[in-house]
Amino acid sequence: MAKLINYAPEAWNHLHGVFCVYKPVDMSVRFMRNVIVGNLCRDLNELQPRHVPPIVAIEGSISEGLVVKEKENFAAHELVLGPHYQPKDLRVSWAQYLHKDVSGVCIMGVNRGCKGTHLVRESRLIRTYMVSGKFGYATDNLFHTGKVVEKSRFAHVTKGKIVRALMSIQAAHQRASMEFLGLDIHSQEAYEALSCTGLVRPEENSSPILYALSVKEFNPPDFTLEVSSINETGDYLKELIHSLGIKLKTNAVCTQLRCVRYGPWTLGHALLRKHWSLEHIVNNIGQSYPLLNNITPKSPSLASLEENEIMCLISTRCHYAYRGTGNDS
Amino acid sequence: MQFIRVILLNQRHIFTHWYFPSLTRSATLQQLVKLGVDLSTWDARKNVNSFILPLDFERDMKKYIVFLHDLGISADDLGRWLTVNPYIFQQSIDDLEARTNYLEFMKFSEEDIVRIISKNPYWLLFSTVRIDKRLGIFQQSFELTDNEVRYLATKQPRLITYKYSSIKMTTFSVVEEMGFEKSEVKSLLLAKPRIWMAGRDALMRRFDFAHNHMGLSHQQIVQFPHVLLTRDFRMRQRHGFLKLLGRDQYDPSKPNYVSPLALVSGTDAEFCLSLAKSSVQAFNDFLKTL
Repeated sequence: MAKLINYAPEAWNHLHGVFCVYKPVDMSVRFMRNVIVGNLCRDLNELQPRHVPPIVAIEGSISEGLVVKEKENFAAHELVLGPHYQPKDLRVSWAQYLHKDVSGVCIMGVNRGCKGTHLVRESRLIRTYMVSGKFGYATDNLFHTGKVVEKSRFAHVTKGKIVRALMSIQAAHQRASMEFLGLDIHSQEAYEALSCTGLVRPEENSSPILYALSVKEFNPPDFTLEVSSINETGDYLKELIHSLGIKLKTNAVCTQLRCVRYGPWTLGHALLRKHWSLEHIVNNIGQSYPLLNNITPKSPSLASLEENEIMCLISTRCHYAYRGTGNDS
Repeated sequence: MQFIRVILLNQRHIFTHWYFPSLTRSATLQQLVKLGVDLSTWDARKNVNSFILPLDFERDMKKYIVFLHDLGISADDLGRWLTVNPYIFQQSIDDLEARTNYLEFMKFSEEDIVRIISKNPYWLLFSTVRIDKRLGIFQQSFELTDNEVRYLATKQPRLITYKYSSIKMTTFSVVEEMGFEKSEVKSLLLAKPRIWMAGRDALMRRFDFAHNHMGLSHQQIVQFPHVLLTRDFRMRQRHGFLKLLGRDQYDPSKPNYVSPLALVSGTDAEFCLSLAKSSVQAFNDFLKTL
């Protein structure tokens, strides 16, 4: 059921809400925001604008006869005021700051949707990344663009060793997440929190907590991990790769960071750069609306997630061998 | 004189510059709007208001408009021209006539002169001495003949009045950093003068990708200078997709040759169907892995 809109103010009325874009690599979120704002203004200005009524003037004098004239309203003319929709009229915000090196799903809000982005940020949704790395060398900025500072052999690294190293990291994070709950780890409440009601999420801003780590690809020296976490940053993920390399008695550097999932939003929802226009964004707002409404409000640590997400993540926790998590990406 | 303007835009008030009574009563400004001049852009620039407002349309501005019309600039284009260059009203008519006479003296044809003035409104702000110097510099540093100088000035008039320090930097990049020879530099200049108007960082990035990642030789880049003028992400995406499919063949002597020009032009649909022989959906999925 599609509706064709030609009238700019009507399109403007639809331009409120949260939408999902695919942020390209090597682009800051601020630059992306400016591109989107510029595209939206360009598209809005192409639509039919609000009609500007002419000035009604009464001229002449009582003796000669009063004449009512309609004059063009120059003060509201487009060439005097500028385009009808300008970048300063639009409010666009983002839910999570993505580093320049990170590409992937980025939630943004336009106009009244800026409240939605606050809601998304405070809900502490779990984000899933595909982090690619390379064994054998380390750089000064922990990313492949930096200057190489160390080189080492990596022939001894096997998939089993990587999985074991990831499991130990994950166990440490699980202990950390229990500490945020403030419950005694051997108590009944802690058991219930973990198994029955879902994942444990910290209420306030905490250091990054990883919920799931698995190896997706391993072609030595390249490898790809799937990382699900909360409160992480691009730099933290690069450090994770680096420390993984050290744990395996070699070196590792991060080559690609890609966010494939943000809560309920996945790659399928994300708009590519060529689709950053009014029509696609308004449609995306419509698609994202039910997802936004289903985000459970952030409650102290015991917020539950979708059924299949819980099952997938519990399975990786309970079984200490690599199993495909069956995630959508 | 303080200017305020109040507009209602989506029920919010925004302050701008033009004084409301001044606009409704000023015949000059109304005439300009009727010509198609974008007063809002004049607003945003420094000091333009200060010399425009005291002018009267009939007394001062008309002679300039007549001059431009006689030169060959059409009435539809006049609005855009004056929007770009309001400073013409500060020049004297004698100076303007001298500058156009200089162009005729240098054997530019009438259509060339119209194209130069139309494409580059700032040309008329440069004195004959300055323009002469600039044309001379181009001729000397790139070893151009007289006809080639005229061709360059007509093809891209904005290049002649472009900031000269940037042009020097770009020439340095092209010769020293990219490693083109003098004859190749001249071919690039005459084929795509816009390369000299592009930002140096972007230019180096594109060259680096084309030469080192795509494997195009200097000669191939001279043959297809368009690769230096597209935005890099487009090249990266399309080359990456072709590489994934094993179709990144830029050598004309081998089969499955893909022309670098075809790589960077056309819509995604055309690229996917004719060059990659794949679907747009596959291309979109690939883009989401970058």
